[in-house]
Amino acid sequence: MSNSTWKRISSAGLSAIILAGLLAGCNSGTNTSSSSQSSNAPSNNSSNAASGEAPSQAVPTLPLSEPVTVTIFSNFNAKFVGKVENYNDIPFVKWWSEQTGATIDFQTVANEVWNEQFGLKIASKDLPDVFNGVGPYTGGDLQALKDGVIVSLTPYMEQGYMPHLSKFYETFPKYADMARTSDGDYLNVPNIRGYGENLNSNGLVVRKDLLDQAGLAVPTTIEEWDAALRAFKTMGVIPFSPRDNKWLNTNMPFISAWNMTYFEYQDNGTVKYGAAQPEFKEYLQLMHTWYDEGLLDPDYLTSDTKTITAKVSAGLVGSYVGAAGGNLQNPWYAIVEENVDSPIEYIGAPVPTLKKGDTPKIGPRYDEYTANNGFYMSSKCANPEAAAMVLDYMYSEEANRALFFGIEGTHYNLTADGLVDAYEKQPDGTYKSMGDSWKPGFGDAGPGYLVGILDYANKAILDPTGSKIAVPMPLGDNPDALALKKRHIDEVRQEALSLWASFEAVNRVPALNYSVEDAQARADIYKDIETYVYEGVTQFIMGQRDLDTFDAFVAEIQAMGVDKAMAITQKYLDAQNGK
Amino acid sequence: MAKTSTSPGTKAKSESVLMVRLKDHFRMIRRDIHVNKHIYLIALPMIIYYIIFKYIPMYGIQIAFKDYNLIKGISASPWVGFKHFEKFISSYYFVRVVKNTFMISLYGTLFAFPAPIIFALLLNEIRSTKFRRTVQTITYMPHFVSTVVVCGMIHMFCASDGFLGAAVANLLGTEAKNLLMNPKYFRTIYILSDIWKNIGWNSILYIAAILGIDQAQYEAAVIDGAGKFAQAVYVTIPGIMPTVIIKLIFRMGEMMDVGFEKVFLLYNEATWPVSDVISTYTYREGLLNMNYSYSSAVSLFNTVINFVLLWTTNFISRKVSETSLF
Repeated sequence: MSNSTWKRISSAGLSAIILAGLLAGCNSGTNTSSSSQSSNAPSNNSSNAASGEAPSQAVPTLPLSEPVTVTIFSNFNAKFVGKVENYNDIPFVKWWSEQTGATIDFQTVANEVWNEQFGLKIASKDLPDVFNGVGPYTGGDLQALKDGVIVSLTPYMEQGYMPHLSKFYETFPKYADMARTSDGDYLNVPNIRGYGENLNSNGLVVRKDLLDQAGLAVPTTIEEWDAALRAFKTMGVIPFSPRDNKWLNTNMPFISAWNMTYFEYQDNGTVKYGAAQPEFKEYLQLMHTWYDEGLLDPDYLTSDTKTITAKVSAGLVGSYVGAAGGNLQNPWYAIVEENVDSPIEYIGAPVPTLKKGDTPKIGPRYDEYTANNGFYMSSKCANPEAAAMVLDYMYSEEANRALFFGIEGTHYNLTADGLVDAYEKQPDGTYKSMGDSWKPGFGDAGPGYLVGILDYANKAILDPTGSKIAVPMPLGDNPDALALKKRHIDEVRQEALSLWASFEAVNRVPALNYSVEDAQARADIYKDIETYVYEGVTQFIMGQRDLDTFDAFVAEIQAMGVDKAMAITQKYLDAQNGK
Repeated sequence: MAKTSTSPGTKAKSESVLMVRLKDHFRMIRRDIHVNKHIYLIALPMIIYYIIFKYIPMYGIQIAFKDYNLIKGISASPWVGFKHFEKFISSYYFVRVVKNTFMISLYGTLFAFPAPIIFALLLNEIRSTKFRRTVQTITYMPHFVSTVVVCGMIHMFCASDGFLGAAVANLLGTEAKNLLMNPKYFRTIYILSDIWKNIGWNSILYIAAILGIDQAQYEAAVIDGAGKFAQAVYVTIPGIMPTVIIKLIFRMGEMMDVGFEKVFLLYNEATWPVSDVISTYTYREGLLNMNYSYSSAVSLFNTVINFVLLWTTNFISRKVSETSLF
């Protein structure tokens, strides 16, 4: 009897547990969104004020007198994971809300589900007020405008609701040209990368101690690199360890010496295709020789950043393409953190050239303006004038400074030269950072990637290769060996960043504002050609394909229609240059 | 069905015969439901699930023939006929990509499909229960290791300084090279790691099938003078054949479904000629991002091929043996 009741109890209990498990799974959403609905503004304050009085004159100023909520739909940048739950907790966003008098409400979703959630939002027609980036939308911002998902910001700029952005475009017309669509519209409050160093953070990094051992200087030409790599080989390290071909193309460590890339580049305004040029064969010959003689990492195609970082930290690599961002887990620091006295030392190398003393005409560089990023106003925005003013505030000087440093006096002070000093000396002689309460910075979350392009960085505009806009961390009264070494590395990193920016990007094809059809047609042709080129390059380098067949390689690229695609680019490039 | 003649009287009669048969049928069904209502009740959620999640969404297949626009919705999106299929089929690499998908699947069927069967047969011969249980537990474990971890391990082992790279170099007498950068080895590595990961888990079904074979048959075989090997060949294998055939038919229905994750983690530019499959190709070209029509077209293409293969295999199996899926 007890046996069967026990059985009944245990089976009932088990089913209850399973049921509970199922229901628990039902409950949670997948995202970190704070799901407050976008509330309709209690009064149409600003539009009343604007239309009540003379139309173009009476635009209200911030802070808004009546409360407005602006909902912003965004992905959640991975850099914030663990630091904040939601963008609304970022100090800058709170400050921004206070300054504008509007409640700014970010609805964020995890990066992995951004595409999906974006699609769902659009399909359900439940649009937020503002989109932080419309990357997931097929056809990009132009198509989103055509489909009525977003609205153009030009009318609001003309009516004076966006004074800061308008002034910015007047001061820097080249950015206005980049942001303006081919129809003459401004669609967004953009992300713009400011100055030389910020446009590129990767470059060639080489072992100084090995160079010293071999008695060589930092290589600047291809020949010097050849000598250096051979010397490294005799010392038993992997001379050069890149990632795969895509990496070699994006970061152009050596192809830039021929002033071209694997793909599109321009030569005095004419668009050309790198892989179809005869000089490309020289590049392939060089890489093939290096691969054959073991000067290239034999595992390079299967390497990713982690494996390379591991090798670099262990000192097994003579040179590689590294990053010099300060806040990355960087081999530059890792080595000294493990062993301050380690002889291993890395420094940056300049972009190589063919002849000594030449300036390269091309190099890796991010575009200053990339479409589909920044704040876009949706067609269902409850109070578009107020939203326009709130978004425009990002381009004001105070906001620009607050974006990166905080509030003057609280989080930083200005030196006599106008540099930002974020450290204050403590009574015991050490220095404490004033800006800790302002972290995490908003910089990676949305527009305003300007890095002080206004104000402080008027210096940066004049000095495009870099600017020390912040005073580096002071060493204190009795710095220990680790602090000294880190400071030295910091200086070396800054030096590397300026070396890597030391080229004129004249041969680079900038981002152009293609129309939707042209962009699609061009992308369709190039996608297959890219695969073919990467494969071909790999086969040439590894020797699976003989370099005598290079002409057939070029002929095949022509047959795939590369000229048609280049014609499209040429059309838009001419239009931009003809301006 | 009763034969019908065309004269009016008999026509009315044959119609009423039809009605009577239908009525009988319905009565039978109603009785069945009444008697077994609990079973039908338990089956009801699953039936509803299939209707809602598998049958009703078939309405959406039409977006493969339209230019689906999220704003306009399915009905209002314009028809474009076979435009997406043409775009896919006329891609430069279409033939290669389909061939790679097919070849990887075929290798899988040739090698990774029989492996668990043989393993189950071998396990069956182990006398010591403790040893067999240990072997089973150990071989089940790789199934739970995630693909990403397995691929990480493969990267390490196949590197030019990894032990597999060194082993192959010793065998062939060449210097150690990275195995994953050699297109000739890609399928081998892919299939072998698949076998290693799944052989234990997939053999569970076959072990269960073996256990279901009547012991009397073994005794009869022993009496007829069969040794161990003959027993396996003449008793065990025919005994699990129905299971094997059903599994094979299922497998045929998955021929075009080479998973994205593992290929993506293992491939690189040197092996693209053999490793680029439909899923990685369309991913890399960025063609699927919110391009719902195109991705529907590609997956409809895959599904149709899968279905044709499935149906053919089922048909052959029905003719040749007694076992078939439907």
